[in-house]
Amino acid sequence: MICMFIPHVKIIALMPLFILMSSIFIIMFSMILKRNHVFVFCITLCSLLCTLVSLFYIYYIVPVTITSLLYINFYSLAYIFIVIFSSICMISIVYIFLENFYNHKEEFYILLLSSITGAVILIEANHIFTIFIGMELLSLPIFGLITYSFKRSTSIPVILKYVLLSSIVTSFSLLGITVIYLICGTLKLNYIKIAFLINNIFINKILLFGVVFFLTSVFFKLSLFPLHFWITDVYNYASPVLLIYSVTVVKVAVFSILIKLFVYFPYIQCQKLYLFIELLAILSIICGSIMAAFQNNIKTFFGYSSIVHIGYILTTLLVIQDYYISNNIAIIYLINYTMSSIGIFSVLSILILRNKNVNFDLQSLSVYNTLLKGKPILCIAIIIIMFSFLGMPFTYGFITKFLILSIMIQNKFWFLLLSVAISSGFGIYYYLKIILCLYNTRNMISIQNRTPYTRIEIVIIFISILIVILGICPQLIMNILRLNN
Amino acid sequence: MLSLFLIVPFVGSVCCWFFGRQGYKFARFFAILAVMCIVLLSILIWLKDFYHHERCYHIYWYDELIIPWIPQLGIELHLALDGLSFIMIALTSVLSLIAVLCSFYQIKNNEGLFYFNLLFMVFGIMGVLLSIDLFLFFCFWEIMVLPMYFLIIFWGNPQYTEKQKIYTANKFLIYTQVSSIVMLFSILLLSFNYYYQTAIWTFDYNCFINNSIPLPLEYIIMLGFFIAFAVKMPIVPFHGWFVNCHSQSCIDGSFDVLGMLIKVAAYGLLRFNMHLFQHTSHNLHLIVFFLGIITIFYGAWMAFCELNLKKIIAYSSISHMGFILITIYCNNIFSYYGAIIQIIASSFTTSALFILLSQLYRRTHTNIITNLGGLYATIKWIPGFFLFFLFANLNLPGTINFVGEIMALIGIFIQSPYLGCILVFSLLFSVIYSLYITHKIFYGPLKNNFTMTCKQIDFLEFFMILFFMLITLILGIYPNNILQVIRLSIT
Repeated sequence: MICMFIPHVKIIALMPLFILMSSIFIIMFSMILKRNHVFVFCITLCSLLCTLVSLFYIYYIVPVTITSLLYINFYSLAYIFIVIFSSICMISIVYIFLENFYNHKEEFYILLLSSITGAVILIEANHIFTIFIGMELLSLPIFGLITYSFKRSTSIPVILKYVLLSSIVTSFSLLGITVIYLICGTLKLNYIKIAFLINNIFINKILLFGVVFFLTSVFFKLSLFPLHFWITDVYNYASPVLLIYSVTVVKVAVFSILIKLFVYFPYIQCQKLYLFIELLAILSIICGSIMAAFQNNIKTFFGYSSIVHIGYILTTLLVIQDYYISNNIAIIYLINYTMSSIGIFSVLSILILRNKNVNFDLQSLSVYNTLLKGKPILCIAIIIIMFSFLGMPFTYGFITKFLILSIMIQNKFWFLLLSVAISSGFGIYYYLKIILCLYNTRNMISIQNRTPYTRIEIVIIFISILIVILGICPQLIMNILRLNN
Repeated sequence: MLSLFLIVPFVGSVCCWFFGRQGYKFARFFAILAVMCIVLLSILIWLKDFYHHERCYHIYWYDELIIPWIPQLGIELHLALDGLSFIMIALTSVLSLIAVLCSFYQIKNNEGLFYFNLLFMVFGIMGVLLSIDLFLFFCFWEIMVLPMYFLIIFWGNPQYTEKQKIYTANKFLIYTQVSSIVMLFSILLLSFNYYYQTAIWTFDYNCFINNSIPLPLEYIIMLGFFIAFAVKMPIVPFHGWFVNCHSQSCIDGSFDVLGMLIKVAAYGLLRFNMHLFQHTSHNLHLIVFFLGIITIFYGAWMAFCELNLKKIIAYSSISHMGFILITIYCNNIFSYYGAIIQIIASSFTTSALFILLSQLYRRTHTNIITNLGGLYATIKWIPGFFLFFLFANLNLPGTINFVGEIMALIGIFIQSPYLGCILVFSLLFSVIYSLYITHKIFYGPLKNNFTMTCKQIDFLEFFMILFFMLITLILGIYPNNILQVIRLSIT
């Protein structure tokens, strides 16, 4: 019945991209006529919601291949779902944020939507060309978005640093792409696997070299251990609203492409690569947690703790031979990671909205206390989100941690297990340091602006309820994922 | 019925939090109500299942509750009760009642939250004692320690600075967190082993108990469990968190719940290490004996060196735990009785001593031995009680400690007579430090003048101590009630 109206299956599969792009054009044209923040916000929200709805529609026709460039299966839909969901949460906070402070409000939405489009392309990509385009489309608008910070003067050098670093890394990845092209003669992903399987060891080494260079840019975006130094500056100066975006959407999209790429790297031919990933995961977990323990600024602190989480998720790459299990667990983990990050950074954004002073450090974290005064439910919500980050039982975080550990034990990654033990020691130290600040009644900072910002609080409470529900009955998600195996 | 043991403290804790905002009286009311309910429940269970001991539903368990939880991984909400866990539960409920009563003596800031944490800890302990599914067990095991962290930091001993308390609490939490993640590895390994053998995902204790594990793997798994329990107990290489935790916690004796936290580790050893890993536990028993002897003598000697009364009691409790560890690993019928009775006895005497110490502290405002002296003349009752419990700590005949001691020593003697001979000497050292304390505090010239003006013992304090004393004496003279319950759990 439904198929009668729609000419081609592949057109439906491209719907999210169409919706997002057309909304960008609509916003542009509306801005020519008249700048209207509410209208632009509504258009953005509508387009994101439509994208979300269209995913349920695409669900019935996956897997789809659209030329050789794009390929959509159930897992791409799941990743897109996470991306769009966190974008919607972010948009609802962004609106209040922009309403209060800025002149160029509408441009923010255009940049954001184009970045989300990049993320969607990246998740659907099946060709190195599309991966490259998606990655650039994902990250270039972020340069613009960083400028939406309170301190214009400090943010310019930070942006410059970030732009320079990421362009250098992009050139690395271009080098890698050329090497891959040299060996394979094409840039389709499945040809890489064929090349690995048919060539001899020497040529495989060259190909591996190209792959590692190409992956460098991916690791940079994920800010894994040796490539994490930009975090301190960028996270420090970017507004927390943007951090919601760059911690969740960017990382989820980039990770999805990583897991897609690794399907095409056969284990026996690329043993060194897998060893490298294991090393990277261990180093990210240990160093991320150590550095997070000594952070004084809460935003960089969450940046480093996100490194630890990405380190955990990298474990799923090592068992990519079991495609379904590794994807399922990655998605389960990423859902927890996104939800908790959104919750935490929305709390931060309330604080900053109240304070109008972006740079506050952990020492003055007793501002949390003023925020939560007389709001026990919000207080519980924040503690639940923290515990979920920490992996305490009866929150969703514990289930994810449990699954990751079970992968590690099943495949006998003893060193990874050791690093998990170390990082859990550090983890409980630094997360509880923040929870302590919630209770601390001493040295309260008085903030004049006591606007309630109910909308953000509702987002936080909603997320915490979701975390507890999923923690108590994780079979809800597991059933959905299992049905598609 | 079993689920009530979890529901009551949980609901009670939440009620305390919400109604505690209206005023501390509400919080106290709900706390005492919840704890009374638990005590009544355990009495009911005793009457129902253990008084007429011919009733038996199952091979192991008297009462069971199974609700599927995560069917994909074979995880169930599986609660069960046998004699061992019943004894521990009854102990916990009595101790938590006393803890709540004790904490009435101080009006704190944020009292609702205090009772929330206290009851939440009781909830966690009950969960650990009741859960048979290892996944569930681990969940409660993690949950159990968190309230302790907040109790130390926010309602700790005001003598210490905030920074010291945070340091102590962090140390405590990092120790337990790292050890519990090691235990999680072990639980997962156990489950994977079962999966490879039978292709069934499960975390059920009943399944594991009949399952054979390859010996090298069993060593790894056993060590994972052992480390987690040894950190909680605490056995000497892992005891770093323990003493400071005791001295910097609440001054008003509500800290005997920490005692319960420790006893849970002994329960874990009895339940899991001795039953799931019989071979390796037997193979490694010499090492464990060695650790236990070190723990006993270290605790006794450190208690002798220490000047802070609270730390002395903490060290003596370490010494007791070493003794219990050795008794558990002797693995015969006498030592089994002995271990359980010693767990009961030492938690009663230690918590009674802590309560007495807090009462002393309230009158003299110091815990240091050298500042005290000649209290016998000024304060009625308390010195007498103190003396009684110190002697009970030395296993005086007529107290329950004596029953446990005799049973344990018989068990140890059967296992290895030399070890028994060495352990008898440990009694000597505990006599020395106990006599030293009593002499310093209660006899001799009166040191400080302010002790002259202090108030006498009041009814509630008197009642609590009397209660402990009566229990110690009654169970000591007529221990058959407990022995019967334990005997039922062995079959």
